[in-house]
Amino acid sequence: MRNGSTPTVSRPDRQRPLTRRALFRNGGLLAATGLASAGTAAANSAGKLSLGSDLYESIGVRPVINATGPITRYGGSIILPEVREAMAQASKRYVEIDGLMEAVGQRLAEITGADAAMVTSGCAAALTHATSACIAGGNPERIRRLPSQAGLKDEVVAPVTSRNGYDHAIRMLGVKMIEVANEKELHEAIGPRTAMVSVLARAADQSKTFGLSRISRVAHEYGVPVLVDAAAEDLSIPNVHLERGADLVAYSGGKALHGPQSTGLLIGRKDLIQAARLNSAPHGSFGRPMKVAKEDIMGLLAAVEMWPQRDHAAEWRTWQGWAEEISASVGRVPGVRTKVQRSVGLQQSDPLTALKWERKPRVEIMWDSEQLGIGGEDVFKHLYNEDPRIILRSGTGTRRQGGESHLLVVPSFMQRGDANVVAERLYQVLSDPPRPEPSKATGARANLAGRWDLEIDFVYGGSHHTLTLAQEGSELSGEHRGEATAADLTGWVEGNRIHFRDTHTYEAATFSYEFEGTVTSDTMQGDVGLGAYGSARWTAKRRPYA
Amino acid sequence: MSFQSTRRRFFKRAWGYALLGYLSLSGARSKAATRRGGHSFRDNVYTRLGVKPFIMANIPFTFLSATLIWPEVREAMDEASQYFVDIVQLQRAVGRRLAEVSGAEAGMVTSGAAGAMAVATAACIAGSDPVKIRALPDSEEMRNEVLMWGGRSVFDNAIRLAGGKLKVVQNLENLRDAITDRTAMLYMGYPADPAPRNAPPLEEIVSTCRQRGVPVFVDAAGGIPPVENLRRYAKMGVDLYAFSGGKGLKGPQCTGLLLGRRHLIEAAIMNSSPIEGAVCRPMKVGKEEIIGCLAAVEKWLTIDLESLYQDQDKKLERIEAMLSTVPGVHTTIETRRGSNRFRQLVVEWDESEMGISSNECGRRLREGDPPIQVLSNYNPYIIRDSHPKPKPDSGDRKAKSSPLTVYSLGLQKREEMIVGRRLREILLEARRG
Repeated sequence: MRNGSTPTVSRPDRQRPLTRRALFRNGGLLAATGLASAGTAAANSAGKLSLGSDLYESIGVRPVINATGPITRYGGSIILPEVREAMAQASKRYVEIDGLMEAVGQRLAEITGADAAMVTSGCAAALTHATSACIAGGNPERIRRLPSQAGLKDEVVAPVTSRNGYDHAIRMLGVKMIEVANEKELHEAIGPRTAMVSVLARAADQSKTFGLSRISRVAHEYGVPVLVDAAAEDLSIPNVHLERGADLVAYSGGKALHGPQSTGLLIGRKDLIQAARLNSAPHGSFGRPMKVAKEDIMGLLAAVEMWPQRDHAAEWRTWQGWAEEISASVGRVPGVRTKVQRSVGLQQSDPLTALKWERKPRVEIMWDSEQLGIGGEDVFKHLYNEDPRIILRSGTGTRRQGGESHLLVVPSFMQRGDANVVAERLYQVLSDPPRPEPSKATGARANLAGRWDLEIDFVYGGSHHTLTLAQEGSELSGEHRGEATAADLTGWVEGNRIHFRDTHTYEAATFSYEFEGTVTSDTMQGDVGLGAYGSARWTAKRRPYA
Repeated sequence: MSFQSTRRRFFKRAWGYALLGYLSLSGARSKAATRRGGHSFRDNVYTRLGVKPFIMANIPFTFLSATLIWPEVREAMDEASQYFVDIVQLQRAVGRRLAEVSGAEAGMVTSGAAGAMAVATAACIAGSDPVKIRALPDSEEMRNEVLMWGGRSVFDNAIRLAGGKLKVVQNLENLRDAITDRTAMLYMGYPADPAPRNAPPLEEIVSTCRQRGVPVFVDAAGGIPPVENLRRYAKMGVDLYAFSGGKGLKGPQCTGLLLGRRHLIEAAIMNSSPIEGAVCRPMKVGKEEIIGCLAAVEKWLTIDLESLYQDQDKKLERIEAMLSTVPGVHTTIETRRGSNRFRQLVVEWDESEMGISSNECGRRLREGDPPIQVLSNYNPYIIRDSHPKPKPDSGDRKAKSSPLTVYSLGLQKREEMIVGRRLREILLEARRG
C-alpha cells in the first residue's frame, strides 16, 4: 500500500537495467517515460551484483533523483571526487585505528579551529558518544556499566524546542530528557543528576530570549557541558556554536560536507572528545557498534579539508539556477503559483563564518487541488513511483480533501541534468494529471460510529489498540488509542471502503498511522501504513454495548 | 627424527638461505616490495598525516583496521557513491540477494557484527511496532529478557543498549526453565565445530527455543571463512545469525551481515538507520558500505577455499623457510581453529634458550621500520571474558612460551619477505645475547 511521507513500493521495483547515465544518453526523459510502461520484470527476483553503472539495478533497486536535499533515507550526499580518491587510497593500507583517530582528530581541529575533533558513524552517533562522554568520562568502570544508570548521572536537560526524533541517540544511554522552556526553568532543572544540556542548533538560533549563549552561560555556572546538534547545517569556521559557549558540536559528514554517508563529526572540548573516543570503537564500550572504518575516517577528513576550499558562492548560484528552472517550467501550468526561496538566514558575504541553517535555495509550488484535479501528496507519490524515480522534499494536500496543495523542491543535492528532468516531470504531472484509480467501494455507506477493538499485526509482534469513531455523512472522526499513545483521527467512508489517519506523539517526536480497508457489519480489516516503519495488517471488531 | 623429515628440513633451510640471499642482493627490489600502485608504503594518505601504516601479519582486529577490501569491493563502493537510492529499498534488495546465496529468508547489512547484535535484539524486543521502537531502550513493558548461552559476551553492551536484560543459561535444562513469556531472544557465541563433547548440538538448542517461540541469534562474527557458514546456520533453522563484514569477508570494515527470518530482518531494518527514532539509528551504514558488503559476499562465492589457502601457504612457507635457518625455532603451518579460520604459521621457541619472549619479539616487530603486526599477546583494546572458555586443544607443542603466530591474509605482495627477514633478525640477535 501507499502511505504518508515515505512512499513504499507499489509496483515492481525492478525495471530493465536503465542507468541514469544511460537515461541521458538515450535522450533523457522521453526515453525514460516511454520505457517506463514497458518495465514488467518480476519484483522479487534478486540478481548477482554487477560492478558497472547498472550496479543498483542489477539487484533490483532504482536509483533516485534527489530533489529533497540531504536525507539519510535517500543516500545522504554524493561524495566529492577528493573524498572518493581519499577513500580508495585509504583502503590500500593497514593502520592502527586509534592512532589514525588521533592524527585525523588533530588535523580536523586545525581546520575547524576547535580544540579537538573526532570522526563518528554519523551525527546521531556523535550525539551518543557525546552523551557517554558526559556520563562516563574516561572512567573504565563507568564506560563498562553503560547503559546501566544506577548511581550515574542520568538526566539530560533540553529546551522544549530542541526535542526531536534524533534525541533517541541521547535517550539510548538510558537517560531521561528534562524539558525546559526558559532560563528560570533551566536553573531549576540542573542538578547533581544532570549529565549534559542538549540543544538543537536551529531551535536555539531562532530563539531571541533563550538562545545558545544564555543556555551555555547557565549550564557552565553548574559545570554542565552543552552539546549542540547541528546535523545538516553548514560547518562554520570559526564555529559559531563553540563561540556561543557550546562544549561539543555534532555535524553529519554525509550531508553539507559531502563526505561518506556513514560519518559524522564531533568537535569541541579536548577532554570531552578524548572521553568520547574512549566510549566508542575500537574501545570495548557502549558505543562499540557505531563503527567507522579507515576509509570513512579518511573520507571525512578529505571532505572537511575541501570545505574551506569549495566555491560556495558558485555552488549557490548553480542551485539557484536549478530552482529557477524548475519554477519557470512548473509556472507554465495555469493555476500553479511558485516561489523560489533565495536565502534562509544566509549572509552571503562570508559563507564560512555566516550562520546558515539550511543555506539552500528551495522551490515552493502551490495550487488548488480541485482546480488541477490532483493533490500535492499524489504528485509526491507519483514522482516517486514512476520512472525516473524522483524524491521531493514534501507534498501536502489531496484531491479528496480539496483546498491548497503544496510541494517543496530542494535542488541542492541534484546532479547535473537532474533539474531539467524534475522540471519536465513536474510540468507533465501538473498539466496532465494521471486519472485517479476508480473506487473499489461497493454497497451502501457503512456506519462505523462506536467503539472498536483494534488488533495490529506488525511484521513482527502484535498490539491491541482501541478506536472510538464518530461519523457524519462520509466523514469520520474520533480517537485512536495505542499502548502508550493516543491521537485524534480523521477519515472517510465510501460504501464498504474506509480510510483514516492519525498522528501520535512519543518523546517529542511524531509518527503516523494511515489505515485503509473494508468493513463488513461489525468487522473492519485492511493494511495500515506506518510511514518509515513500513506497513502492517489490522483488524477491528465492534465492541457491543452492554 | 626420520630421514625424510631431516631431508625436508635441509631443503627448507637451503631455500631459506636462497631467499635471504635474494633479499640482500637486491636491496632495491626489497624497497620495491614496499611499493604498490604508485603510492609507496612511505608516502601515502596516512604517512602525510603522520600515521605509519604497517605490515599486517595478524588476524583482522578492528583496532588494526581489520582488513583490506577486495578490489571488487572498492570498485563497487566507488560506483555506489555516485547515485542516490532509498536505503530501505536497498537493504531489502540486498536482503533478497543474500537470501538467494545463503538459503536464509532475508538479510541486511549492519554496522559491524556488534551492530547486528544490537539490531537483532531491538527487533526481537520491539518488533516493528512504532511505539515500541521509539521506546527502546526502555523495555520494561515488553518481553525483554535475552538468554545468554554459556555465559556473558564481552560485546553484550550491544544487547543491553537495545533494552535487553541478560540472563545466563548453561545447559538445555537451564534453558527450558529460563524461557518465560518475558524471553525475547537466545544469544549464543560462535559455536565450536564440532561441538565440544558435553555440549548439546546447535540443532537441539534451536529446536528447544523454536518450541517455545524464542528466536535464536548466533554471533558468528569471525565465521568466514568458510563461506559455507553463510548457508550452514540457515539450514539448521537458526533464526538470526551475524558475520563481521570487515574480517575474513574482506568487505568494508564498518559492516556486518545479519541473516535470518524475513519478519525478524524486516523488524531489524525498522530498528536501524535510516529510520528516525530507532534505537540503532546511530549505527549507520551508508549506501557505499551496504553495496560493498554485498560485493564481498559475491566475491567469496567465486573463491575456492583450497586455492586461497594454498595462496596463504605460499607466503607462510617462505617465512617458515627463512626461520628454519634459526636454530631452536619450531614452526607449524595449519588452519586456525575456532573463528577466523585462516592459515597460520605458529612460531615457537624455548624462551630461556632463545633469550626473548614472544611478546617481546612482537613488540620489536611492531616498533621496527616498517612496523609489523603479528599475533602475540598484544591487543590493548581487547576486553577479556571474566569466565575464560576452554582453549581449543593445542596439540603436542613442545615450546615453553606462548607462541607467536603469523597470518598471511593481510600481506601485500612480497611483504612476507620483509616479515621473514625481520623475524629472523630479531631471533638471531636475541640468541647472540
